[in-house]
Amino acid sequence: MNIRECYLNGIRPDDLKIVDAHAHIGHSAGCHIPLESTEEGIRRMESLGISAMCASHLTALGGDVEAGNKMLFELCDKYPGKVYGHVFYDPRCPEISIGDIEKYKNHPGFVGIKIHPRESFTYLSDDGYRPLWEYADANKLIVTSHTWETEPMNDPALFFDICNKYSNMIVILAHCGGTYLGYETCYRLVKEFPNVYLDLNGFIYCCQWIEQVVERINGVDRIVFGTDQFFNDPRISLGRVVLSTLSDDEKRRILYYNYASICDKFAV
Amino acid sequence: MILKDIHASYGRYGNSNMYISTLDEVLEHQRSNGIVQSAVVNNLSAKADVRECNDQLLKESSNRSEIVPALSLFPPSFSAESYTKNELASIIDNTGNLFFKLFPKEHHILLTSWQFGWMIDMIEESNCSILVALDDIDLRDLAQIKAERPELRIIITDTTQWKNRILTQLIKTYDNIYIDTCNVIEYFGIELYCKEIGSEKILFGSNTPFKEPYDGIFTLMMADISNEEKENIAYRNFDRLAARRRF
Repeated sequence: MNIRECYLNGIRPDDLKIVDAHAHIGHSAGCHIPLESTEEGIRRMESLGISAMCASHLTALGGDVEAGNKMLFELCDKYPGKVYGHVFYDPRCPEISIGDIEKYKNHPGFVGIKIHPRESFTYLSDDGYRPLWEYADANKLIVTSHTWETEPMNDPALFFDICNKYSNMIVILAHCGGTYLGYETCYRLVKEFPNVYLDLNGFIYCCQWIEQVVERINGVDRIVFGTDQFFNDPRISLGRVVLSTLSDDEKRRILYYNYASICDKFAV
Repeated sequence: MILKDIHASYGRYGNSNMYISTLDEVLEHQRSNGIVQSAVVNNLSAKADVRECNDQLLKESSNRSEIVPALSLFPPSFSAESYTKNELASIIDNTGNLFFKLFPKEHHILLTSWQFGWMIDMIEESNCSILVALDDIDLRDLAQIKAERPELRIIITDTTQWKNRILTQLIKTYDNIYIDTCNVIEYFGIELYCKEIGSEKILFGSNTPFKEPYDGIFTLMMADISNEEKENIAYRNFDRLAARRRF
């Protein structure tokens, strides 16, 4: 049976490796999230065959960068191999944020940096992000950015200028710009810049089927798997991949190998 | 698992480069994903001549058991564009199973008793269900119309987690409000809504062809709920709401 047939028959393929490149840990007051504890979240994640999540901490996104990053890496220590950390960079306090990247970059759980321009009330083009671009580019780090075309501060189109200047860092466009127009912009970014990758979470609003995305960017190599758990149900992104008509090889690359090829914490 | 889809459509919409759009393409994909029956909207009815689009949908759905038409409605503001009482009664009496779909944003209308007048009386009396997207309506209007008309069946599609506190309380407060699953993206949201509002209020919806049905099918298959709850969501509620009285 192929991967689709396995799942349709209630079988989880044993050899299917899955790593979630886009996750969050912590609490958010913006909507009700039915989760009692991080332990419960990890148990649920593993029940779906997802072996690890690469997360940022919602306390950091909410404004307290140092506290959030500290709590995140404590969880990385508590759940080694299951929780990996994105240091959150807040452009309103670049010195503190760069200090945190310095502090955690050699931690075994460190996988990169997360930014959320809308939550940080700062345009991607703002000078507050320049120290990050310079640092990440010099150190060839992964920067994952929330993108949404209808939110001016993190319109993916702003990455054209950034990627023209900084070609060594790896950029993951979380949500792929969110909307139909956002996806169109992200397709252009992927075609123009070899260091840009797409996380397709948020597809509800894009009018683009996963098969169509693969056609538009000529293959799956630049797609990484992200769920946005614990905001979103990880089964949404997982179902989109495993029940699609893509080949098993394409599914395996999206779910694990593409991210492993850019993140040295995961064996290729 | 038998699947019946409360939220499907066909036809091109705006400038979107849609993966599939014709009725045949939509139905072929529904079949290949195990969906045996769908409530189908003609997408053009959001933008173009509603009567003409409804007529086309009724014609295309006749003798096709896999389609339950979801007809778009203009309120009776202008006699030249809306159905008369006799016309609406005839549609309700002479069509098999049937849903109605409102596009409040596209048509610049409100879901209120005064906006729809006698039309909403007939829909309530016939037990027909109205489909409407969450972001197309003001939930205060919905609360008002439900307070006035407890028997009126309204299926909220395209829910958003950012309004889940309001929506959940609304459904707990008023009878005959339902949701579809197409945008239940909350963390383990199916389980959450089964616990909070009950599986009788939830219908499987895919929003094909605007998105793939894979996520919704997978999430329901994997949901940690009873088989009875799964069947309610997958098809039983659809069957219950598709049936209605004739005049």
